[in-house]
Amino acid sequence: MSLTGVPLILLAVLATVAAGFVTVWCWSRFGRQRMLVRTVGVLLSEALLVLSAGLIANRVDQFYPSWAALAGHTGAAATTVSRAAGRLDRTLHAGGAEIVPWQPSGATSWHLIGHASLVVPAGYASRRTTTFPVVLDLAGPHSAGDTVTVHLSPSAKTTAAALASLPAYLDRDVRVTTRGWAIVASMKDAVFAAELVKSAPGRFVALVLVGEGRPRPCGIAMAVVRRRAAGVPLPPGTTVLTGSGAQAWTVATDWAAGQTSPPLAASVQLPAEGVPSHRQATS
Amino acid sequence: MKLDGLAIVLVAVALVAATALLLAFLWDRTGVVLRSTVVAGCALALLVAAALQLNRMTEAYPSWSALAGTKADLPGEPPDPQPSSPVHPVALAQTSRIEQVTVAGPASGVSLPMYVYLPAGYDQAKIARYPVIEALHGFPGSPHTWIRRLRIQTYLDAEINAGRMAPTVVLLPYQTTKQLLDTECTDLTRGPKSETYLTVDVPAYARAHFRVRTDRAGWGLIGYSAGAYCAANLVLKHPDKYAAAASLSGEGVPGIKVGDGSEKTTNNDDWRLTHLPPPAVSLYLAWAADDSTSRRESLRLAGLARPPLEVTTAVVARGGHSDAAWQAMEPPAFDWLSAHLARPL
Repeated sequence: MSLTGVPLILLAVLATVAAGFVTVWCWSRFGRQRMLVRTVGVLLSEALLVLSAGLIANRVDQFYPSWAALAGHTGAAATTVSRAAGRLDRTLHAGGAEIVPWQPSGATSWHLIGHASLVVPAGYASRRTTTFPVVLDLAGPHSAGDTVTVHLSPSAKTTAAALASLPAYLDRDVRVTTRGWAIVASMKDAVFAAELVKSAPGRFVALVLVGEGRPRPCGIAMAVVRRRAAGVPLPPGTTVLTGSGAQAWTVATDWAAGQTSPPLAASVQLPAEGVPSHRQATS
Repeated sequence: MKLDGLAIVLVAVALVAATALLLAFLWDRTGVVLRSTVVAGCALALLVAAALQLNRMTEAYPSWSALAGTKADLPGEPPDPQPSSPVHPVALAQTSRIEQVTVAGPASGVSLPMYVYLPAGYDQAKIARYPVIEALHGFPGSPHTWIRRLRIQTYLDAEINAGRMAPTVVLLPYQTTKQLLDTECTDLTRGPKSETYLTVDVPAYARAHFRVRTDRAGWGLIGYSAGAYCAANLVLKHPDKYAAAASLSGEGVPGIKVGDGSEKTTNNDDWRLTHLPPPAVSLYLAWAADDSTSRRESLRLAGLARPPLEVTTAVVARGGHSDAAWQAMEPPAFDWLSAHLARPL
């Protein structure tokens, strides 16, 4: 019998009424035993009254839709899917700050100047279940804290569309997150960096530009590192940082790393329920 | 005797039995007036016992001082911390803890107590600034529901210790000045300005008194039941203050009248998603499959979402609208939130 069904509620209500009638009927009967009979009758009626009220409230608000729910059994199928090792994991050492050439097979279509390189953080090799966010460094090579830093120099032929294949290659080779990334770029590459941001909604959370200029907002947290705090007006919400020369890039990469998501072990996940396709959400 | 403890419920049940016995005994020995008085006593005892058990289940009035209307638990009355490992005085700094503070809100004019989860290692100051999550309770409810019924400290400790969640400061504020006044975290026209309190005063207090991130990238929300509506509504309304929110068994509309009709417009998530540009925030919608209302409402919200608003759905098979379901949702929701917030600095 369902916990929220009408039959159980009817049964409880009928039992309450019956208990009340029986208690009244017995009230002056049973001689010396009547004290006990009365007490039991009153308590039983009260208990059934509370039970009926509880069942009705539970049916209305569905606090416990089933006996299993009432017993605390959720049937939750939470899983923790460990991230597979990256193809390059064996060759990347724990020292950190080591610049490693990165030449995935699809890199030729990116039309980079030179080849890409990457830097993994200290302890990368020992933290075998951890995935790391990425700092995409368009001006380096630099190392950005506890992240996987990918350096690439775009040429005039490099497009955001062409680089759409980069995350998949990177994910195959090293343990990286799919979101919470940041971009470090020179001000001259501001437009290209903004295109990268727009080409992958949700992937990048921050962009930092080094140099003088007035970049356009691109919908994510943005910072500009320039020689002096005062200068040309920047879009509202832009963080102004100061630095020059090599120090400017250190400031930029530190800020970028601080904006990224934390390096984390594989999360506990529950099954998702699909949204009807004609009203599909973004993820 | 604790107002939300088992002992007081048992005493009330004993009182119910005593009044029933008294009624049976006195019936033949007294007149109508005393009989009526004892019958009323029976009813009152039954009501009190039921109310105490309901209070125990919801933690609406976690203490006698809350019942008396002074709201705050007395200083020094700890909220039953549940450390994941035994607490030794020497190792105190190595374990998490929950502190009680009072947030007097200059912007809202609301002054309420708040509980603050500080992760293990907070006192060692190795981390300069932590990400923050505001955890909002249901109605009726209180921060104690998170602490005692939903064991938030245990779950947070477990996720952080396992490396699935970054060390995070979690704020557990009250959302109403009166336990039986449902604000749904809005600024009531004729009531407390809860939205202002939660989105202006509480963050300002946290930034001034704890080492927390000051940028929106490091701030998130979580809530269950009415608190789930709160979390979703506040992240949609204040994307400049919060980057992500997790809704556990929520709805898209408040179950109250705000006083200015905004429950049909700006405080209605359906209206917001169909009439306003979607904000660039992330939303985690979790529900129990047998909680038909939350499922329907959450699926509708997910269906209305458009980029740059990101939505992730998560389902537990059973559990309805209960503590068990929310406990099952806590670890994945906290992991998801941490992955969608900026890291500790």
